[in-house]
Amino acid sequence: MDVEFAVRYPFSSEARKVLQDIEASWNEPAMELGIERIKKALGNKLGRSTAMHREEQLEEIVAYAAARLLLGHVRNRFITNTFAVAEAKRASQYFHQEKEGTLEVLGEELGCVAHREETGYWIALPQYVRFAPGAPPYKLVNRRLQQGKVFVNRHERLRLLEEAVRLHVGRLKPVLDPPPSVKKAGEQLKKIIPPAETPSIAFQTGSHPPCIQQLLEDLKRHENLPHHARWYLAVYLLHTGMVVEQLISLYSNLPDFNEKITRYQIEHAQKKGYSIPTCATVKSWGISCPGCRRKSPLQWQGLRQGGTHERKGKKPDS
Amino acid sequence: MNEKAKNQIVKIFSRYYAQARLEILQPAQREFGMGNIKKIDHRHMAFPGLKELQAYLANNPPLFVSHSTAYYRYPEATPIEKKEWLGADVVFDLDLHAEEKFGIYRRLDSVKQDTLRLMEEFLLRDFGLEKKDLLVVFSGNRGYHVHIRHKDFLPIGSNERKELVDYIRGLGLNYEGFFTREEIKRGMVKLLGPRPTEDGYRGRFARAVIRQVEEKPTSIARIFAKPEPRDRFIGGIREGNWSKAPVKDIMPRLKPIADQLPLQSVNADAGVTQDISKLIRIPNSIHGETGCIAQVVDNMEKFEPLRDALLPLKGVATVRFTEDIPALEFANETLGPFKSGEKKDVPRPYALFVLLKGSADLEE
Repeated sequence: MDVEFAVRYPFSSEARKVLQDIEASWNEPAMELGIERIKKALGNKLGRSTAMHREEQLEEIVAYAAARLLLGHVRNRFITNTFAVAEAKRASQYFHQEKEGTLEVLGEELGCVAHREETGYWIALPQYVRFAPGAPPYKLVNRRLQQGKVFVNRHERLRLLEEAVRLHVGRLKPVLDPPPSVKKAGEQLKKIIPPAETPSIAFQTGSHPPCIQQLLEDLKRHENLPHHARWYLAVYLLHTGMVVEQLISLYSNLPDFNEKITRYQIEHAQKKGYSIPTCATVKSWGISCPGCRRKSPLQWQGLRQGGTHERKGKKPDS
Repeated sequence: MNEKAKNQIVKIFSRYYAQARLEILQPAQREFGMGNIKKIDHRHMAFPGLKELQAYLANNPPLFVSHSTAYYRYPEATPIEKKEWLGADVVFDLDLHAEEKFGIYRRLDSVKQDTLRLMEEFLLRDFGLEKKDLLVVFSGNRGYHVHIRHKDFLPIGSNERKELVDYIRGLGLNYEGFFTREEIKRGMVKLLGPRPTEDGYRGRFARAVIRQVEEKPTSIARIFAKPEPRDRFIGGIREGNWSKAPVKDIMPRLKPIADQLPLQSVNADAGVTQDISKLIRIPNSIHGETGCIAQVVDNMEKFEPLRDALLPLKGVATVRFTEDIPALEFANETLGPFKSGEKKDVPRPYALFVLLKGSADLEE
């Protein structure tokens, strides 16, 4: 058994073997470790392992497993998604130093198999679309394809692997009949779950175009939004008169929310006074517009294009 | 539609379903939906097998019958979460958008050509699928459904399916990203780009540019009217070297070619592909708006829907038209035009068609 591998990748089958070997039990101390790991993930503090000794290493492996057990019991989308993002980013910190053989093993386990050639890798198309991030360079339409395989370079291959980790970690089995220690830990965890931030935005059907409505629904469910979707939503809501703090509060529902970066980006968008893009541009980013045949979101409610400070009764900044 | 017509239609549908060869993989794991007023009036139906489904349809023939693209552990359960989704076929829906009621039936060939393009260029070539992985079905009205049944595609989710539709529709295509610049010596840059032998949009783009230069050379630049610069440019593209164009601003001139690459008639709005709990017309069932069979197509080149997808009804029926109908090619003959109020003996498949379109009443 490779305990160091299991510490680096506690979601792996190697980690499961370790847990079986030590006959891990889900008592209160184990659940405490799980809570701590979740807290680190929520606080963006889940980094590379600092375990020096075998006991510490085993604790880390137990902590991950306990955290997942807890998440399967509590079933809060926000925490699960945030935890999955944190574990994926942590794992990716190790990827760059790994040999090809190790990456192959991980890829096989996660269903993200890449076949190496001289200048990069080929990945089967169904796997590529499952694990490709939402950013425009990863859109299938712009990729090199060959008979059902997609070409990626090493950096992209590692990025896909990171996505595969995120999806794997975020896919939880519901824990239906938890032992008392898990229930108790669940109660503790619920106290630290932030309430869903939903500043008042008109959610009545028809108050926003379907594309915006869908993005707001996704946000409410703490789903991750790709970059263009976040930008578009922010520009649109600034045009409706939402203030920066409200927008930041709304975006805090995102599983990888970083207040500093979000504040910078929203204030930047406000200062620049970006125009709301046309529907053709929105669709080109892959944002869903179910059943809508308008040409511009501005047509939906007669929103006036005039800078992000414009609100009813207020003149735009010159 | 009068009562006489409704009764006849029920009999026709019932007789057909008693002997039809419905094409459904793993029917016990599919949800079914049926309708007469709408396409789906009832859903969450399940049957242990094809025999049971067929017996039901023969006794209670609906105008429309659909099955889920998805496979479920408990297809009859509600709400949807309780069905336990096991995977779904990927289905592309191509159809003609049209305002006019009958005009689209004169344009079915264009959507057939798009379906052929979808299969050959995108699914067989780019996606690396084989013909046995695909089921091509005439929708029964104004388009086609293409089902992908390859096991590797079954588990992919809604977002991934949308990515496949986006691919075919060319959404987000950035052809300028196909190119890189390599400095040969100071001040001289070589433009490297896709070759025509490549798959995907890269190869598609290179082939389209070559075709355009060969067929309409001056549409890109006047100098391509001369064979030498034209052949030099094409020769360069074949090696991935796009620097051999004798024009400085070649990139923006290629944009109109890039814009023509995607397949526009794939229907993304209805969400057929993205919706992993979608109900889709059962292949070889009857389309209740036309009386045509949603025919599984083995040979797309030879297939003519208004000849090959008709119910095998012999003889004629007398109908009285309730509106003007233009001439249509139907079962290898030209029928019409007909005027509102006109009473006529017409072949029974055509009679069924106009009755279901609400354009005639049955006399006898």
